[in-house]
Amino acid sequence: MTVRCERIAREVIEFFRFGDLDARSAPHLAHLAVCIDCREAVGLDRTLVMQLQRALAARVDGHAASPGAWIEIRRRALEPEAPTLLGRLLPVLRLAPVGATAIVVLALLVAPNLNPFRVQPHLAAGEPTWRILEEVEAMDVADGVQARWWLRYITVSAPHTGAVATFDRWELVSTSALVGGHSR
Amino acid sequence: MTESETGLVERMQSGDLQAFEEFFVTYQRPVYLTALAITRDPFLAEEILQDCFVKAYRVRHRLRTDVSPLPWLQRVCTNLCYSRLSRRRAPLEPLTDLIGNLAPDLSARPDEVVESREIVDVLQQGIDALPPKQQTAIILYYLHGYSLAEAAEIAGCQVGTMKSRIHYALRALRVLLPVARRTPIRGPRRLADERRA
Repeated sequence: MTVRCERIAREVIEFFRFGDLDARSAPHLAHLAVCIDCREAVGLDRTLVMQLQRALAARVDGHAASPGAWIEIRRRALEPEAPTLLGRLLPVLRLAPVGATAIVVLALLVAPNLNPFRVQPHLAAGEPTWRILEEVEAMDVADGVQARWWLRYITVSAPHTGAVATFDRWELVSTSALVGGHSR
Repeated sequence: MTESETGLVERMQSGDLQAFEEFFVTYQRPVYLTALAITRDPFLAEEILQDCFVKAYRVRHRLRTDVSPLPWLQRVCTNLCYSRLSRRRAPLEPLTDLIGNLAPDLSARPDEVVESREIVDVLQQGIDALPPKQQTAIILYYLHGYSLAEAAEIAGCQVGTMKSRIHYALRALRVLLPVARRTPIRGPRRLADERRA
């Protein structure tokens, strides 16, 4: 089969397949009339399409939807629609911002150090090495002297280097540890 | 779209069950045939038919009244088919295996074989083995006889794309034909030459 024949056969096959036969097809059809190879190629495609149509028709021949189909469709169409997965999750998703906010607030209450907006206490240059920020409860009262407190205090990590507070914390502090310091 | 089709959808949208039944009677056959042609299972095809029309009723307010609902129904149907088949279909035999299985029959007498029942059976398997888009294309075009434009609208693609899908589907199926018949055997030859001979 020559290149020209192949091209003509391909074009004629497309004309036949898609119903595009018109005046433009005349030269192709004229060629087809005299070229057996092209006729065979086109004939093969026609045979394939016929067999394909037979095969497709065989899939559906003699079949129809059952008479009960409509009754079932009507019943299902009228019954309340089962919520989709998204529909079921929607009420929960609506509460998500509230839950997230509650978790954040709780976290800040439990661990105030996580609060990025908290103003860090600090010791000024002239201050001693520690300062009590908050006193909660005195403990261990012995001979009328409060020996230990639950305190929130700040201190410096290197007392002799200056006045930068490095942390504050709640701790059970012995009075002896606070000697020399200042209370609020 | 005919006036009765427009009115049918509008009546259905207003909750008229009688209109819904008419809608079903009007469009159920092509939808069922598509489902059956794709699945080859009458029970599954009926389930898909039901799903398709139940969905149509539930989204009736979104259905367009200016165009026929059939392309939409067919599109929903094909989507449902492939979604259901992907869950349950066993791995299909590749086309190359089908050819191998057919080879002994095909080598004998091509002209008879092409017409034979075996060819149709092998084509059935070949159709099953096609990619879904090509399968849908040949079902819409060759089973239903939709025009290229209609088939393209249902498949949600351009006409050129639909042509291309049909072309590739036929090319894949053509491989199933006897080797001697796939391409002309002889070189260039003209009727005049034959007459001379």
